[in-house]
Amino acid sequence: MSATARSLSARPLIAGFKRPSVLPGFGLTLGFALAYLSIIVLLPLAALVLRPAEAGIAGYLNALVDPRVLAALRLSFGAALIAATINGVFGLIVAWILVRYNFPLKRLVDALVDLPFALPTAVAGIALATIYSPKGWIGSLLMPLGIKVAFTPLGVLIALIFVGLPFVVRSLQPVLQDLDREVEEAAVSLGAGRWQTFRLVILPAILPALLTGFALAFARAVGEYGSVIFIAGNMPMVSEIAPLLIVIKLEQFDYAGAAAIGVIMLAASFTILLFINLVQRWSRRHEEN
Amino acid sequence: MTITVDGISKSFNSFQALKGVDLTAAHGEFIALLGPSGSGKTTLLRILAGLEFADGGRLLFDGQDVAAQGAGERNVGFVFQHYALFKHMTVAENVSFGLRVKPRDRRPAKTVIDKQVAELLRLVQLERLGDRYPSQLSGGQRQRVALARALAIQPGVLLLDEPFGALDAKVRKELRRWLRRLHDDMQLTSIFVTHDQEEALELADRIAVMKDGRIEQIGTPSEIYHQPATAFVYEFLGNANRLRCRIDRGRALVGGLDLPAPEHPELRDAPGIAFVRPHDLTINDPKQDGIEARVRQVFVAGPAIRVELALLASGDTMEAELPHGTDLGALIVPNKLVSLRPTKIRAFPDAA
Amino acid sequence: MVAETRRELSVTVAPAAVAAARVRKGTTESAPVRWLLIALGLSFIGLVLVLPLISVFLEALRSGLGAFFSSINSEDTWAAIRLTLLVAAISVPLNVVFGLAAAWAIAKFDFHGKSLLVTLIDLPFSVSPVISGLIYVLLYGANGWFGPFLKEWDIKIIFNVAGLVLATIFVTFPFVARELIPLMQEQGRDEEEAAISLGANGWRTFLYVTLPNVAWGLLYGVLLCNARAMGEFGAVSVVSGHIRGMTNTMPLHVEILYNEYDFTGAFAVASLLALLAIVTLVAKSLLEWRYGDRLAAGHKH
Repeated sequence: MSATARSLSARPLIAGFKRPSVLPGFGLTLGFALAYLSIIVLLPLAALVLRPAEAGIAGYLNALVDPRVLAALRLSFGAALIAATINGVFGLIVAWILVRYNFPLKRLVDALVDLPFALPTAVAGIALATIYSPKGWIGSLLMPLGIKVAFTPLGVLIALIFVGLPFVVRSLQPVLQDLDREVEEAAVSLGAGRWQTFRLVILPAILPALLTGFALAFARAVGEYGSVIFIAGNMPMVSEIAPLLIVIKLEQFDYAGAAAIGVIMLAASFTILLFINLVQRWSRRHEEN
Repeated sequence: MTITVDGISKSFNSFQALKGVDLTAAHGEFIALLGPSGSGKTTLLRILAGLEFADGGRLLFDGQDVAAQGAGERNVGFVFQHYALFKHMTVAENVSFGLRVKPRDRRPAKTVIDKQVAELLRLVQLERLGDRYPSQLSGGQRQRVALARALAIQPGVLLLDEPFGALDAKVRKELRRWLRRLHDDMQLTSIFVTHDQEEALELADRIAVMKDGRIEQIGTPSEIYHQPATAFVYEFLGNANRLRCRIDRGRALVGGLDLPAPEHPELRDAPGIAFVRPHDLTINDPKQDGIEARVRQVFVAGPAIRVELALLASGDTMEAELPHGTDLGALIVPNKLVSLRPTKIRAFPDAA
Repeated sequence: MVAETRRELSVTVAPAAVAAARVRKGTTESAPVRWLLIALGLSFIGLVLVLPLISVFLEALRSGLGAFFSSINSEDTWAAIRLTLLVAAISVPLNVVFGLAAAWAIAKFDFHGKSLLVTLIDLPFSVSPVISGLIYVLLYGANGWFGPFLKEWDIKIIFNVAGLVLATIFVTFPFVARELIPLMQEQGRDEEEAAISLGANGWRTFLYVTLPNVAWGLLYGVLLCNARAMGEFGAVSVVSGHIRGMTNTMPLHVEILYNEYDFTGAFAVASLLALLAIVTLVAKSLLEWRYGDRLAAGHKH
């Protein structure tokens, strides 16, 4: 902190809210930012939360007991969970080889990891649908084995793996990078084998980052729409994801029903965010001050 | 365990860290590797540990060649400068780590492990801190945990890499003494790396002074200090004033003085440098025989009086040390002309 | 320069090269394990990322270059491209203004509720794109809160460009702000305070002191913001009404073509978007590589 900042923090707050400052523009910038946020975020979210409530608590409960809604939620959350787990395992491998090893095209691979962030979801959606359809490159290989991917929940899973991958890799990379190699040397000098060192020393150290990446991938996958709807088949009760159900209800002008599902999904997302926050705080418990 | 280092060399890319090093350590000896950064001392220690591998030479533990063994098989206890404790494990878990990772057939029972951990914690005076995490400990405590952890596997040799380098001066002194006592009790062969000559002189049975990947001299602290083999060793082990001189038949001629230099009877009128410790320099009235100098500054506060002088002939700075409380009189005052006389010198031929 | 008289004698055997090559340092895996991990990792990347990307271009060109270009050259496609560019051209600058304002308020001042504000800014990242569109329908749709009011004044937001812009802004405004806030926080207030004390007013300080400092971070944020703005699908799908030629952005156009089984057409337009993605990735990597220290921490490679 600069000397100015230090002396400033000793001064009493203005209106119990803000510290006095030399720099101008507080009112203008904060005011604009808050106005923008209110119009873009707060107002619409209020509409989301309050809409089902117009029908009372019943509004929410009705949505929850509808079997079609439940099936869609089960699919969205279930597939997201599995996809995030697969991403957790392979994302760890990818992050590990990017940080620890050298191989040709490593830089290219590193840049490619962000592809799901940069590629429009609809493009990914049609590409995946085509590849895994019965006549597609991979679909045609799996058909003889009796495995159908396109238009099944399995297709949903594939799409969700695509969108979640970068979260795990990017969460792990900085932590792997900063790992203290001396700690691994200590473990070796004490007689630990490589797998023991990984299991007892390295894994606990990267676990928070792994969990964070997992949670982010999960949160993204739950709400994913564009990558999924082309490959999913979208059959109610079988391969219909929750976001699609929201769209369908909107087209039927069942605004309250759509909003109810939206609120449930939002509540789940917030819980995940909270979880991430707690994980990160828990992970710092063994750090220095 | 006895250790034999025979012609060990090691390069990193184009940089030669070790250029053929020989060293032996007898069982129970406490050896210091002393030298500036880049001298290769840490590299040598890590090669001993099996954390690096030499390019050439042999390494024997109790007569056995250990070149093919990795760090885990050599039964060495390694203590790092920054402790390298396992942050997410308690103190007790850290200390017991080496025992817990042993292969099943050699792993002690849990009760045995717990007992040994308790013993070790008592040894390092951290009995009640077994359930704490490293982040809750001070630097000195952490280093003691690191030591206990290394001792838990009952190593044949203890290797310490600047173990007190990350600690502040007072803690360093305490731990230094404590480590020596521990070593005397355990009679464990120990090799430690330091750049602090005071530490080496105080702790070691023998010191190996290293420079640029080679050992300049190995000997007891007394030998190293009083009979330094090279100018580098002399200068590294304490403050040194340098005086140009000529060495002739075991005498050094400097500034009109004729002083004994018995280490070099073979030289005839060779250029040389006479080294003088600050406390071996007397300051006299300018009329007396000696080297002419002018007093620059006098520092009275502290355990001894330090006088900074400039030689008249060359302008070089000299430092003299006088016992605390000496009467400076009218002579030892800034700007005064004085005459310097070394009571003891160590002369080396000047290679330049 | 070993002192001969002090040297300890060692066992005199001709030194032989240590068999170091056969022993590996304990801090890496054995070679077979390494190669296995690399193979697994690369296979995963290849299967999950590279394959879809390549397939976009291959499918687009499957019926030859002629078919490719005629798909691109259709009236509807051009309308979609224009609309996509228009939406981005409105959303991105607005988000830049917001990002700069929010970052200035957060980084240069101390006040209560800062972390709440930052959480709010992060909100759209945790919201499903469909919900992002849903909330605007709930406000401005025919059955929405403002529905009747808008109908009276004959203002169309949903099923119109305005709705597209709103939904796009919602989804993309965090990008610029999230890049600028930590960056400006890292840079502190000292320079601005110095400028003020030398007599500059707020605007000049901002223009000549702050802006140059955050220029590369701003560019990085704009890059990501733009990529997302042009590629957004779920949110705009909900608010657009899919009216060809009028409210179809490129991603929506891809969907329509695909659902009509015009695969060549769909992949042709998709390949344009994929090209955009590649350009974004390249520019992003370049920025991270060359200006990593001028971006917020965490973007360095």
